[in-house]
Amino acid sequence: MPTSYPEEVIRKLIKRELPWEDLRKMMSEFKDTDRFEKYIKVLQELTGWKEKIVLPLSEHLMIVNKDGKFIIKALCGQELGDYRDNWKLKVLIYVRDTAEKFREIYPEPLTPDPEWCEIREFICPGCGTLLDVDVVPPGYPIIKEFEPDIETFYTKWLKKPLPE
Amino acid sequence: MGIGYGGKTLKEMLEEDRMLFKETGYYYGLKELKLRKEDPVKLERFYSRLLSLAIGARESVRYIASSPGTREVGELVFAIYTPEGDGVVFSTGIMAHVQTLSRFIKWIIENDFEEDPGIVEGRYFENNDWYLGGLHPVDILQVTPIFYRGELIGWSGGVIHELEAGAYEPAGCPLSPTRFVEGVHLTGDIVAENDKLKKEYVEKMKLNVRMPELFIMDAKVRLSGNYMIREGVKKIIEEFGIDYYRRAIRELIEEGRRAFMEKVKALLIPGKYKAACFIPLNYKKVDGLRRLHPLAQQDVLLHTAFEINVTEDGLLRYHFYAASPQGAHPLHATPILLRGGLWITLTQVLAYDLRVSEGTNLCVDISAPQGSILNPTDKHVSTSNVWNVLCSIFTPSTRLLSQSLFSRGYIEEVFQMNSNDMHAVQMLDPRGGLAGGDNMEHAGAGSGARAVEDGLDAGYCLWLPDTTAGNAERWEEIYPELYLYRSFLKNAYAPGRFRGGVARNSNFLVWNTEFMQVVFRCGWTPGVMPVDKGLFGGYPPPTPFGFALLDTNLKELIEEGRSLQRNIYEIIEAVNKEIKAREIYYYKTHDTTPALKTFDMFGIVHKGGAGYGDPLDRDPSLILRDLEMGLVDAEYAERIHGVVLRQEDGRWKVDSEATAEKREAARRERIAKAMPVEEFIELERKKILDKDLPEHILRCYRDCFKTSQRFKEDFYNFWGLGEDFEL
Repeated sequence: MPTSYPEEVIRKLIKRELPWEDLRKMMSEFKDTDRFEKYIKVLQELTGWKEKIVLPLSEHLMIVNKDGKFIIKALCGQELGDYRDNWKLKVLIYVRDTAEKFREIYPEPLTPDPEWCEIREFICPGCGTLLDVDVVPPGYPIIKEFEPDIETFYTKWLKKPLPE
Repeated sequence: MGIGYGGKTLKEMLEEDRMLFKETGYYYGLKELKLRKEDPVKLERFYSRLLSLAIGARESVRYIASSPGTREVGELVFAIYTPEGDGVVFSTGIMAHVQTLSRFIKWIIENDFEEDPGIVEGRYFENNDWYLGGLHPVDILQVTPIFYRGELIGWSGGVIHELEAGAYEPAGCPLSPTRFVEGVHLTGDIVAENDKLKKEYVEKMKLNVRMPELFIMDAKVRLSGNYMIREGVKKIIEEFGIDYYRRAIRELIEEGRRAFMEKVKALLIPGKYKAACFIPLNYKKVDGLRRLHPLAQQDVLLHTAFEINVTEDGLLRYHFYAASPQGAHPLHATPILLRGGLWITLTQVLAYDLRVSEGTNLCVDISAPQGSILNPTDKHVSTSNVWNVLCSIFTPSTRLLSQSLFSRGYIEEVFQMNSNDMHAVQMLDPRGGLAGGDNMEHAGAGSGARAVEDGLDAGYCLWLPDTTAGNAERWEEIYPELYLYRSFLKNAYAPGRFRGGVARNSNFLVWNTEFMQVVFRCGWTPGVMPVDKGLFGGYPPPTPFGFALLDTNLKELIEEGRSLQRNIYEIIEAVNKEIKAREIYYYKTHDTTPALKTFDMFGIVHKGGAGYGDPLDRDPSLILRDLEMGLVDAEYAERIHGVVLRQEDGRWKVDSEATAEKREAARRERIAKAMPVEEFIELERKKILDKDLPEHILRCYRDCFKTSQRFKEDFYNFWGLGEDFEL
């Protein structure tokens, strides 16, 4: 049946300190229905931010409420604008588009072919963290992969007000 | 007078079934789940009996088979359907067929089989034609009606993946440019009467497939499983009563529908998720194919783009807003076949504890442009390599669901998949003629990374039910290939905080044959472009590879007692030195080797899946573990992960201080080497304006503009192209 974990367990999960046995059990058991609330609470403590976290986007990026506006903020403090915009357009990029650059990552003969694709590495301008790596043919637009419906999530699914 | 409930025809029942859902929004109009309310334990007992029947049939009859694909890899599934063809319960196995069997039954009903040729007990129908809901020709679907006291009360269905089905080349996923070279087609054929395979069916298969013994035994497996289910259902009815049976199967479906929506709301985040998928077909180098079809002569990049809308109600709406036009290649799917790929993934990453049925299926909506590779209008197109399409789409689809699980906090559920790189063989049968089929050891390839651990190195393939490479000896028994090595490749994984599974390499000696050809499906993602990206800074996986060496000196090397090279790196290094070969072929594409014979050599690399997180965040202790296992070397560990390793007293140790400095420097170096995205957009835009892109890529974009106005608008808007610009 639905279970609930102590905050300490969620903290260890986020910090990847949960022993494998516990992790395995967590995967097999019914999901805890209060996970999101505890997840956000622990992340809020770990970041020490004054802005409320609205939704985690990745290991390094969160949507936060800053002065009534939902923006994307990196763990290093770098801000990347409105959450509805594509954050990838506001960071740094390194493009691997030659066989030599591919070989830095993949040994021969397991390398891709630059005639067919390029690897785009999106880098946080604040701290140099690698935020995402796309692989597309040259000339393909940079797409926005995720646009959460935050209002429906909070008000309809969680039945809670939006974070202030 | 029909054969259905109360004398209705099956067609009338199907129309009523559809109408009730359309009008009420509930499956079969069931707003209230009365049986659940009245006696939940009885309903659970009923469900367990049906489920046990389906699973029990699968697990019993698979051992009738002689094909290792059926016996060991478990490429089969059985299911029980309502009279209208709605799925009630499924065994374990190839969940891609949740919908294909359903579609086949509905096709039988819609095409008046009730009148001609007639639907009677003991009659079995088979299909492998995409037009009727088949997936690709080697997946043989078989259904048989279940009657109770003269009334059709349901269907039993079973599917087995054959190792080959008589196409122009001996593979489960041949490169057929049209349906005319896909192999044998079963289009609703009656294959058995009175619970016995028809003689003409057996004779037809003896002549039309390369491994008839395996194929016919598999047909008996299908028939036996369906027979077991049919008779088992009758016993369940005797126990619970026919009225209860009729009502309970419908309630279970409606219950499944509601449970799925609740699950979506409990685990995901509503909103829009988007991905682009690509399948490179570097056909120019594939000589054999060009001879088969005049239009199959060019390098083609196939593209699809889709958006998943996770709705407020907990539904998943897959809208493929871009897809390349249909063409002379085997890479087509249909919305029904897309459901096949979708369910094989959803049952494992989201609905793993749900009761998959027509009810769960009703929670998913799929739309794709007409005339495209995902919704072909030409009946002659081929779907023989549909798995390439499904892998290219549902690998990113699973990644997007993982994004959702991560945002919701269920970090332990984040998962990334892999596609498959397989080989098939064709050889002379000692009894005369040709034999051959797939080697399905790719079922034991590596997975993508999770958010809490590395990808599995050998033992996961979401697309296949039993993720095992199979015993090497079993494959050696049926094909003239002797395994020289199965080994992992060093530094050959998708880097990340958690890495993808390590690439695995199998090398073979051709043995005891004067003719053998190897077909590389490298893989369902040719070796020029990774199948998908990773998550949150994890890299895409490496690309697959195959090779063949002809007229080698391996006989002499073996007779001299020399040890042979253990992996592809060592083999490439040794070619033209220790290993002599008259002809050398390296494959980064779907292709077929020239004729091989005893003491020739070939090999294939099965890559793992994508990485997760920034490689500089990888726990150094994991690097040390990989180093000790020979999966990474110190130079790669330092260059990619910033981990500085030093040897002390013959043992490797992490230099923590140097590692912290190295990682800090690596991050600074990244910033120094990179450019703002705005600058990149300007540079790339110029290339587009100058049409300075490879021809096959330009053609891909132009083709997709024709089938998708939205893609064209997105493309033009993103790059700031004027309306009058023509790419």
